[in-house]
Amino acid sequence: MTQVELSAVRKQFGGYVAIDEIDLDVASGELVALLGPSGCGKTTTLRMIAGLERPTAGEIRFDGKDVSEVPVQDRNVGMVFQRYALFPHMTVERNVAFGLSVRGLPKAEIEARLDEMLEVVQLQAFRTRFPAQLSGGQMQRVAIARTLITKPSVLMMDEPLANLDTALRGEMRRFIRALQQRFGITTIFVTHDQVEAMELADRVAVIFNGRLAQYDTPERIYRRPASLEVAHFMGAANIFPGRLVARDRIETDLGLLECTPLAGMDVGATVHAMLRGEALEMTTEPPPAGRQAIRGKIASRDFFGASVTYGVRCGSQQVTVTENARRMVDVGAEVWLDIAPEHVWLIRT
Amino acid sequence: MARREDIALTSRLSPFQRIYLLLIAGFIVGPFLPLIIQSLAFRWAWPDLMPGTWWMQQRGKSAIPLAWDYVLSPYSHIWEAAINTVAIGTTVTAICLVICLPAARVLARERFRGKGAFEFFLSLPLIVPEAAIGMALLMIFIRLGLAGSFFGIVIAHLIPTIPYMVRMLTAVYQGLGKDFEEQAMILGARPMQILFRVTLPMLLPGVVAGALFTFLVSTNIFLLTFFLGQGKIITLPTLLFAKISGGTLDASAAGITLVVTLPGIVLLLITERFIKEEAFGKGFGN
Ligand SMILES: Nc1ncnc2c1ncn2[C@@H]1O[C@H](COP(=O)(O)OP(=O)(O)OP(=O)(O)O)[C@@H](O)[C@H]1O
Ligand SMILES: [Mg+2]
Repeated sequence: MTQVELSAVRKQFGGYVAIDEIDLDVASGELVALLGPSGCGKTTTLRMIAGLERPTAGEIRFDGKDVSEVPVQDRNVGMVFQRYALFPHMTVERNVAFGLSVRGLPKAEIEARLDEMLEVVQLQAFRTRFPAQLSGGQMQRVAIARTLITKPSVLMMDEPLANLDTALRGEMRRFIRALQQRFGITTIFVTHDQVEAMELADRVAVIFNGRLAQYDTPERIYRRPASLEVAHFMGAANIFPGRLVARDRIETDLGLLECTPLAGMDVGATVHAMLRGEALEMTTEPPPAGRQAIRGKIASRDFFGASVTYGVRCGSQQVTVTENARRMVDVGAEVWLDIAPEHVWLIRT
Repeated sequence: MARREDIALTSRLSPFQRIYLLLIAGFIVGPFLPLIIQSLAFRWAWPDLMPGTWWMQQRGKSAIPLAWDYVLSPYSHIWEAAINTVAIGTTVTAICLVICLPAARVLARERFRGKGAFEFFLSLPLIVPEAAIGMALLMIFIRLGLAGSFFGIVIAHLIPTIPYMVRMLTAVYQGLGKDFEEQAMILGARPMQILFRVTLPMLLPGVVAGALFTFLVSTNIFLLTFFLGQGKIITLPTLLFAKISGGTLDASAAGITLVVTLPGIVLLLITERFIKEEAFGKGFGN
C-alpha cells in the first residue's frame, strides 16, 4: 500500500490561485475525506495527486518518492469521477476490463479478474448492458469496479455519492467502506457533506479557499474545531464570544462558564466558547448543587423524528439543544442546561 | 433501438401533412425524372411529353454506341473518371480527417491568443471564389511539378474541405468532455489507445458525418479539378462538364449526369444505416 504526501503544494490557473498551499499526509491504507465548500480546490487537489494537473509549486510524494515526473498512466492511481465518465460505447464488461486490456494482459487473465470484480460489485447480471441502461447506483459500481480492477495503489473518488438519492447513498457508503477495508487501499475522497465525511473517513481534511483549515479525526473536527470557520462548517450552533478570565474560566453573555483549558491561550484573551447542542443536558428540575447549570425558557421546538431541537432562551442569548425524541418539552417551559466543562470548547478568534 | 422509430412513423399523418411531404419530396426528386427519361431517349423534342424515338429502337442502326451503350463503353471514359473521383474523394477525406482532428480538438478545448483570427482565416476558402484559389494554386503547382497530378488535385480539394471538416469536428469535440480521455489515461491507456478506443468511437457520428460531407464536396468539385488536372486527370464532374459544355443535352449526357450522382447516393445510404445502427443503437446520442 502507498503513503501519499503533499508538501507545500500550490496551484495557480494563470493568475488565479486555486490552491494556496497545502500540506497533507495520508497514511498507507487510510481513508481520508477532503471536505470543503464548492470551489475550495478539492477536485484540483485530487487531480494533482492523479497527475492530471501539475502543481505550480511544492511536491507530491508516494511512499516518499517525488512523483512530479511520473506520467498519469504510470502513477498507478485510480480515480472515480464525479459523473463517473463511463465509456458510453462499451458494455459494462468492456468498461470494467478497459484498464487491463490497454495493459495488454492475456485474455484469460482479464476474463478471470473481470469475473472476480463483477462478483465483488454484484454486477454479473448486467455485464452486457451499456451504461445508458443502468441506474445511478449501478453506474457508480461500474466506475468503482473499473478502477479497482487495475489494483491502484491510491484510490480517489470525487463526490462519489453526490448523484445518488438518500437511500442509495447510505447503501453505497457502507459498500465503499467495506471495499476499502477489504482491499486496504489508501483512499482519498471528496465531499462537501460533513455527515458523509464523518461517517466514512478515518481523517477529514477541511479545506477553505485553497488552504487546509484542519486535518484531524472526524470526532476532533466535530468536537474540537480549530477555527470558527471549521466550527460553522461542521454545523455548530452555539458559539459565544467571551474573554478568558482564568485558564479554565470564560466570561460570556451566557455567564461565567467553566471550560476545558486550551494550550497556548493566555488569560485575558478574547476567545469563543462552543457548546455542542447534543452535549448539553437539559432538565426541567434544577440540577443538584455543584453542577454548572444555566436557567432558561424554551422558545421554539423543531421535531425531526428521532431527535428534537429546542431553542432555549437564556437571558439575552439563545442556545440550541438537540435531544433524543424520547420526551417532548413544551414551548414556554422553564429548563436548566447542565453544561459539563469538558463540553465547552474554546476557539481562537 | 431501430424499432422505436418505426413505431413513431406508423402513427397516422393527416391528409394535409401527407400532401405537404409528398410535394417537398416531389420538388427534390422531380427534376430527376426528365433526366432519366432523357437518358433513355433517342429523340425527344419540345413539346412532346414522351420521347418520339427511344434509344433501344435505334440500337444497332447507328455506327457509334448510343445512350447507355455509350456511357458504359470505354469511349466515354466514365469508368476512369469514376475511379479517379472515388480515389481522390477517399484520399482527400482520409487526409482531411487526420489534419482536422487535432485542430478541432485544440479549437474546442483551448483558449489562446489569435483564436478568432485563426477561425476567420479558416473560413476564407469558403468566401474567396474557387477560381481565385485555382489560379493561385496552379501557378504554384506548375513550378512544383504538381499540376496535372493526382496529389496536386488532392491538395487542391483539401482547401475547401478543411474548413467544413474543422467546424463539424469542433462541434462534436465540444460535446465530448475531457473526462473520458482523462479517465482512460488514469486507467493506463496510452495516447494512441485513447484515440482509437475512446475518442474516435465516441466522436463517430460526427466523424462519419464530416467524412461523408468531405467526400461529397470533393466528388463535386469541378473548377479546381479542371484547373489543376490539366486535362490529364478526369473526374466525373470534369467529364460531365466537358460533355455538356457544348450545350448538347443528349441521352449520353443525361446518362453521365445520372452516374455522377451515384457515389453520393450510395454513400448516403451506407452511412445512414451505419450511423443509426453502430453509434446511436448503442444508446448514446439519443
Ligand atoms: N482548469 C481551470 N482553469 C481555471 N480555473 C480553474 C480550473 N480548474 C479549477 N479552477 C478553479 O479553481 C477553483 C477550485 O476548483 P475545484 O474544481 O478544485 O473546486 P472544488 O472544491 O472541487 O469545488 P466543487 O465542490 O464545486 O466541485 C475554482 O474556483 C475553479 O473555478
Ligand atoms: Mg469538484
